[in-house]
Amino acid sequence: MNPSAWTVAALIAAVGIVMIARTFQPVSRTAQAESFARSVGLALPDSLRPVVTERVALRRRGGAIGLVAGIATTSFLLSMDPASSQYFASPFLLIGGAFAGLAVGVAVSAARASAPLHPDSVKYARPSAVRLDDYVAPLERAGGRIVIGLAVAAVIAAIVVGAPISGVLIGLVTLGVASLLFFEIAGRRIVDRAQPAQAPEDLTWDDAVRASVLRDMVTAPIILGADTVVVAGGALVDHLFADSELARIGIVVACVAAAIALASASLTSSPQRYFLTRLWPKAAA
Amino acid sequence: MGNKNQTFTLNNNSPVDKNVQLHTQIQDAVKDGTLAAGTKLPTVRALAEQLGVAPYTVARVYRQLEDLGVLETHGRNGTIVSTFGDDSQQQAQLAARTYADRIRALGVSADEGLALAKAALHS
Repeated sequence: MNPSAWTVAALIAAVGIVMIARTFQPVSRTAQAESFARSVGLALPDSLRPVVTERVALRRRGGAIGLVAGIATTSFLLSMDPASSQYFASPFLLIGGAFAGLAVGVAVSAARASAPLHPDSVKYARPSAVRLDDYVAPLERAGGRIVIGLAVAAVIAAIVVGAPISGVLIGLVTLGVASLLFFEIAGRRIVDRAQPAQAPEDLTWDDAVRASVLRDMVTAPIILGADTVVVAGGALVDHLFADSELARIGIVVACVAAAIALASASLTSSPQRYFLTRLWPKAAA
Repeated sequence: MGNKNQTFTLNNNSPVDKNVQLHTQIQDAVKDGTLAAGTKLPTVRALAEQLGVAPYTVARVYRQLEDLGVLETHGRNGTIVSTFGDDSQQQAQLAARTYADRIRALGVSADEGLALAKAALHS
């Protein structure tokens, strides 16, 4: 890998290690739980504070471990490619690998989390089945599929016109498709898991953590798809318009504009509270 | 879609059998419209785990309600609330189910969906 790629890898790994460390510090754990409560728009009752703090820490730790594992694995695989030092787009793959690792990490943390029930307590259960689209807003769910679709189309277009296809591009599109499939399959498994509860508030908070896990998972295909579109677009532009700076600038501007538009739409729709409007409309009101 | 704000409860200390508790709550929820026709119920395993009962208990309740025509089981597609009434009423319930699924897919809130349906019906 080239020096810039190693720099990106080291920075991401450092961020991940700091994230892991913070999940063990009491002050940070409390702050993270309270920040999470504010983001989802729920008051955190004292009775649930220890459980929610632990669940939030578990999710963040799982994600951070996955992020570090993702960046380490991607760096290792890239470094095995003798031509990788020439890949200017290596940082894109490294970032994508980090997000893919984060998605796996939060999914594993969700699979391991469980709420102990007192045998004599009253138990609560939701009367109807829930689905993935109760937790992930249509914009995000469709966004992942659309971006990956565009990514695959861009790679196919690059192959068809005879543009040079780097190992990075193959890695990006493969990881992108895999991350989308992982979200759809593992996401359904997470949604199908039982939600033991000794009070309706237990269910609400379990939904809040579950929604954040699923949203973390859907971020990976969105990032990887966007990376792939940029890299494949660059390969196409270089091949078709070798001497055109305007074409290169155009593709960068288009990608930035698309990213801003998506980010704006996402911010205004409060996707982190989407699950409340679907599953707990009275709490959302 | 069902009213997801509601919950089933199971009290281990109650003199009422768990079977009966669950059976009654599901039946009442269907009668008062909390569980609309076409709503999918949790799987036997998930509901059993959440309520801390044996899967057999939930499966038996589902079977009993199926025999009464309150629920329908569609194999791997799960257990759903049956439609009821005459043919027109059943068609209307299925139409409402389709409309609710479409509103959900569009990301429109339930309140807004209801308001739109009311306006359309009165126009």
